[in-house]
Amino acid sequence: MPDPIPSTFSRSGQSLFSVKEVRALMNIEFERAARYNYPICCLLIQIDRIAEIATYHGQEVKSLILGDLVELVRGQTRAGDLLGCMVEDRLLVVLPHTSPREVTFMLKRLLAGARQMRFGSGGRTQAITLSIGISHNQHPEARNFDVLERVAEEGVAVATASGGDRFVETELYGLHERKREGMPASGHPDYTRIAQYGGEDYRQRLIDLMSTDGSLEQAAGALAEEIIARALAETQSEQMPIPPSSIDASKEEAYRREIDNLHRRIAKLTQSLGLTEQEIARLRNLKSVDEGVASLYREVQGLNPADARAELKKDLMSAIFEANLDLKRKSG
Amino acid sequence: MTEKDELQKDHGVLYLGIDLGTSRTSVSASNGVRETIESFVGYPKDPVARKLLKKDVLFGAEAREKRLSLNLHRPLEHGVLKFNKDGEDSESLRAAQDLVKEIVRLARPRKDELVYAVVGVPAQASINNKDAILQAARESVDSVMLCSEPFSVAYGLDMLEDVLVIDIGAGTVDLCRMHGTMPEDADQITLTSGGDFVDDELAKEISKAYPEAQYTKQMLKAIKERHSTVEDNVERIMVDLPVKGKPTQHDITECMQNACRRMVPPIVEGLGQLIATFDPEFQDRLKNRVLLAGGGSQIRGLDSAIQAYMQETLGGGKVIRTEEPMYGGSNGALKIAHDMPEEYWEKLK
Repeated sequence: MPDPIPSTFSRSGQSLFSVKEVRALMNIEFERAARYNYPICCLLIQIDRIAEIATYHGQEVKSLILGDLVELVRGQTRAGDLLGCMVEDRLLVVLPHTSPREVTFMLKRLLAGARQMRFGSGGRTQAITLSIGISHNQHPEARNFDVLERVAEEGVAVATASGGDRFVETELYGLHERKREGMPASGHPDYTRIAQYGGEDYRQRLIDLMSTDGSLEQAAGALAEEIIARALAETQSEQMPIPPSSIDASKEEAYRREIDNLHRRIAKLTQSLGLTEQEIARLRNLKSVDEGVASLYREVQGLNPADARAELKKDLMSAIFEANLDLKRKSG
Repeated sequence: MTEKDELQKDHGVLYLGIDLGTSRTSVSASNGVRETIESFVGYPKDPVARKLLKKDVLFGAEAREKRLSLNLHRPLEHGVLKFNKDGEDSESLRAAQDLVKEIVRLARPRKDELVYAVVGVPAQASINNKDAILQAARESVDSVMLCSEPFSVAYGLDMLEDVLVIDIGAGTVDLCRMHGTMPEDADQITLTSGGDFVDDELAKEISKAYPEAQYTKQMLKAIKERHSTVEDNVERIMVDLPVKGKPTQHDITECMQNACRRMVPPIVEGLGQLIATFDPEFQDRLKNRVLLAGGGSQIRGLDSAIQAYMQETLGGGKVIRTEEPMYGGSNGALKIAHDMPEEYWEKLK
């Protein structure tokens, strides 16, 4: 049986956290990167045609390949920066202190390494390729880790759609941010109106107005007003007050931050507990616990009847006992 | 001892013979362990001292050495627990309890063994004292009995008939007449001319001979333990004692001899009393079987000095020195513990 692939992995090989917890930790890492202004890259790695491989060659082969992928990523990344987890057969990796430019070198090595991976089945040997989506915190619109993850997911989708064996950065950070901030939907009246002109020829609109109003001057005036209205609407949409749904979102964001903080505290306490337990174990080993020295006797002995003065000693023992019993009675 | 502890004690029985002395406390155990410590118990004076010493209680030589940071106790003075005007001294009782705990710990009992102890107490200890010692011991053992110290010395040497025992401790000198039964009050005499008495006498002698010499009780005790003698022909005893802060050598040979010799007359007078009140037919036999035991018996030439004084005042006598003065009492107590029937232990639990 192959070794089970851990849902999370680290250099120690220990699976300490659930996927959710790893995501929380990645969020913390993202915030730390923002706080200390260092680059951080996020990779989502998918093995091309992994679903088909599982279907045709079985889950065991899939597990083996995923295991090999984990080993490949471990081999190509630094000891201190790897934190990853398996998400639906895809490997999520965060590389702190790595710029987008630097990560491309590593990605090329990863792709090359994956091409060397082979699996044999039914007398045939097949190569493995990867589709990798990348994202990073250097983009001005990359405001949290969720954005990085979504951008990386899109990268994987684009890479897969393009035939695989490549890495893609879509750079669609802003799109996701606007969605998150509650941009007016296409049904919004101002936006609908403006959208009517999006990509249309103003001349065609002028012709339409002329056919309605008859006068070029009036049609031009109406068009000018529409253009101004459109511009104003665009400006207003940028400055639009936050709708109630966005307030909920901000609350959610606050809760998420609190949860992140709690996770961080848990992580610290866990670490502290681990250190304390280690210290206790060390002290326990240092302290020579004295088990004592066993007595010669397993049972109460009493006088030896063979003793030449057994009778005399028996009387003496009895006298000592009586004196002590008397003392016990007197002392209550 | 808790009920839970008792339930787990199925491995064996450890017998302890304890000699709870003014100066030293010794234990002999049926697991082969024999230990002795000075009967000092010290508690840190304040939190600073506690932090420095890293202990809540210190024992023996360690307590003596660090006495400046401690409230130092010698729980037994003149062979008995100290009492104040309102009754027992709670500090001394606590110190005695801690001392017994420590001596039991030094015997290294296994957790799964029953611990039965016999504690030797001064021959004429009062009921209150015996009760206090029992209280102290019960904290640490499963069952405990007390017996007279000189009796335990004689029992350990299997000298139960027509023997006079002299047990010289720091606080007391116990004299006990053994005649084949349990010694009664009339068979026992307790004198206060023990080791501490010699220390006081030595201090007087030195201050008389060398008024400028500075010393403490502990210094004199250490000097006595090393050089004590009643012999005439000995090497000169030269010790360094400070004079105005400068270590100065002093010849204290005569001081030591005089101080040690002062304990002989009261002992022989006590022996005389015990002999005189004994059956005249057996008085000679009793005089010729005098057993010298206890830490004080290590004074050089003491057996000969007592014998000579007996010759002078009682017309003769023979003194035998025990081989193990430090453990004579505890060995005897251990033997009593071994010979005590099981039902007696059970009834005293």
